[in-house]
Amino acid sequence: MTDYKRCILLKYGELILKGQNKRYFEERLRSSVRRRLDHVLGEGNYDLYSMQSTVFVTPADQDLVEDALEELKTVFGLAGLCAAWRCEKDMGDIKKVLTEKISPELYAYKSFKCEAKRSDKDFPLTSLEIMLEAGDTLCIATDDAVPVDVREPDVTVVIEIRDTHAYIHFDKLKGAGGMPVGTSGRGLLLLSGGIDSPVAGYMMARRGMEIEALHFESYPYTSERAKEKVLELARLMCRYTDKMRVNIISLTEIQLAIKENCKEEYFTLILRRFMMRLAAKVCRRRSLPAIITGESLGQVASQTIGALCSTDAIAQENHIPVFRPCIGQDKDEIVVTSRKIGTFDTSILPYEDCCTVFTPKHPKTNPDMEKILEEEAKLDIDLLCKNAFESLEYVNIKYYENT
Amino acid sequence: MKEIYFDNSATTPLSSAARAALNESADIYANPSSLHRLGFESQKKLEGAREAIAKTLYCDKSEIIFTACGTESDNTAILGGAEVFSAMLKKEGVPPRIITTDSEHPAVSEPVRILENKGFEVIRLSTKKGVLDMAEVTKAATKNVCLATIMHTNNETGAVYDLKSVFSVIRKNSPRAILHTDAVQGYLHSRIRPSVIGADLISISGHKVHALKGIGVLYKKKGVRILPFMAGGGQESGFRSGTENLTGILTLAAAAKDGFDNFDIYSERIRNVRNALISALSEIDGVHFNIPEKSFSENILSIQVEGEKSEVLLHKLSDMNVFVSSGSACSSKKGKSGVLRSFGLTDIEADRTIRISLSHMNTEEEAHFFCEALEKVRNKVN
Repeated sequence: MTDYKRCILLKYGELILKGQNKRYFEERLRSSVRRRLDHVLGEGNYDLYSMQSTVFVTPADQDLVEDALEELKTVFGLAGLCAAWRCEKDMGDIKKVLTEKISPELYAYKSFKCEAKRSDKDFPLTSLEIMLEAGDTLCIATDDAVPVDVREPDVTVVIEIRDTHAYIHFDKLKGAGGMPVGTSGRGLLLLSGGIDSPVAGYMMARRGMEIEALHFESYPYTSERAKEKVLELARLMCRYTDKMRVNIISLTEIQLAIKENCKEEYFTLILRRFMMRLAAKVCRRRSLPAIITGESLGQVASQTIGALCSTDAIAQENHIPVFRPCIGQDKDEIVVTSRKIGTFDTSILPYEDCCTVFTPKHPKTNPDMEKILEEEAKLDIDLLCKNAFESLEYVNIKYYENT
Repeated sequence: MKEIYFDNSATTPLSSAARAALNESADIYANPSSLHRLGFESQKKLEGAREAIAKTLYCDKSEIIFTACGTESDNTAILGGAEVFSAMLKKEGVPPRIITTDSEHPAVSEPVRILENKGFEVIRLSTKKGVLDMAEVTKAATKNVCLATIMHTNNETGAVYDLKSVFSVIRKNSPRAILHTDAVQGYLHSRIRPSVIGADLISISGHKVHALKGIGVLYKKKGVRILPFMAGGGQESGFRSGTENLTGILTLAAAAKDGFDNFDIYSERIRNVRNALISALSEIDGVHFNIPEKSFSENILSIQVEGEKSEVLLHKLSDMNVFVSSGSACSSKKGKSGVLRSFGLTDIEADRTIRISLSHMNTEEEAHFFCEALEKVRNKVN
């Protein structure tokens, strides 16, 4: 029996629409792919090349194909991926793979059809002829145990005749979609310990944004554990975003000043405006052109349209756009994504965060801008911001390293 | 007189890495669940250890559950895994089926027996000559299989079963089945990658790999559902309540890291001692090897010595400070080894079998001394 190689085919998503800068997008995509493969397979233990809008990966250790495939499901920019058998561009060889490798797995399905793609037009058979021969071969190999259904097959067997080899595989798995990370600029994610902000970061990263995070702590009112939880969330997000710098700023002094000087019902609003000011400062320092938050309209008192306008005013003063990808999503939808990306279980760990200490009993939901400014006037805003900014520390996170 | 310890499948001495971790952990006493700083420091140590152990199993740290021993890991996997399917028992028709082998350690065979008494159907695969028959596996793998528990490495013969093939057949034909392996003997003697062998649950014991007694691990693949065996404070993601044995966990992490990082060196050391034993023992009349037909772990060498009863021989060797076991130490109190008969030995052959089990701490010199000792004691009158 010939030993056929298993390899992984990665199909580009939206990237194929790109024009002259396509190579740049491809390079970013390949580097994301490599980062994962280096981890699962080890550097140099695989062969990788791209051609015709497909990346071909052949792991040296053939046992690890499934592992690699699993890890590659998190690469943004890939529309689909699959593990394929590679063989010579010869109908005899193709039939052998179908009989020896594909037919034993076919029993798991109710019905099948064959599909052929022929990018090498010199191949002696047409696509239709390949399909018919392949279907025949599989019917014989399985003794007609699995019926053919060309309309609604349970599974499709795909035969691709490519540049140097033929590839045979079952349906493609869905890739992570979107655009390669880093191809749409960078943004600063306000990362609390909750469910929404990691989802917001994921959604923007999926559009190709490189994510940097800003977390606010209020030690000693919040604990080391709360900070550790946020770093763990960042690590989990890095499965998708590759790497992330987490900036941490202490809000304690600001919170105490607001509590002492301002009316209780304005506490959260004024605090959030401070957060925005500090975020804008971090953006300037780190040359980040946008802010991302996990806000969802009406979810809590500080996320009403009035409250959002009052915080947005600060961002506008600083000419920085605020992206709120979760704004139109229900909590249920956000939770579904959170579970999918694996941050949910960490998000719900019960530690106090900077938003839950000092929360007013009856927060303003429909704030009057003039009133806010009146309350803020009681504080030395510049000094408080300056001091808070001086507390900035940061941690660089990578998924494959322990925080 | 120097001690020669050739009973490493029963338990192992502490490695220097584990000893260092033990000393270091003596002052770490806070409860990892405590909210204060000391508690947090303990928790960080705990999570660091989890990460280190996850690395040796090529998995995510969220897939590691700490238990008190290999037996607890096995019981949690088998009873907790089958519990999910207990509703099927009440329904009329085919009972849920469990696939196992006829050579399992009691930590697996006994919980399986409990389930059998409750009404689960149990298929015990033959392990003749240390090999599983794939035709038998295919026949056993029906749709109603709920659990398969097949050991990785046999503790008496060293046979390493082809889990990859067996589990892939069961996975395909029995889509609901939870796949468990007792890898207590195989861990750090073979490279165990859950995704390659296709296991959902893997049991591991600390003291078989040069860590302390009283610590075990259950690998549980993400998304696999089992019911917890112990209820309480919800530690270990709710799968194993009870304050964590941090000292044990830290020694295990250190020992596991040492074993994993030096895998090739240690394997070669064991191979050299084994080869020295085999070549010297081959010279002795009446010594036969019980070597599995296909794959086996090099640290376990099962031999028959003609004209000797294994227990008598064991005591005679013990008088010379040489320590081996008859069959498996865990079950030898219960009489004759069923495992050896399943392997294909006659009663007489099983009765004269002793097990030599090695670790990387053994030397070739010890191998030679062992053979000399064996020759000496054989000439003694019983």
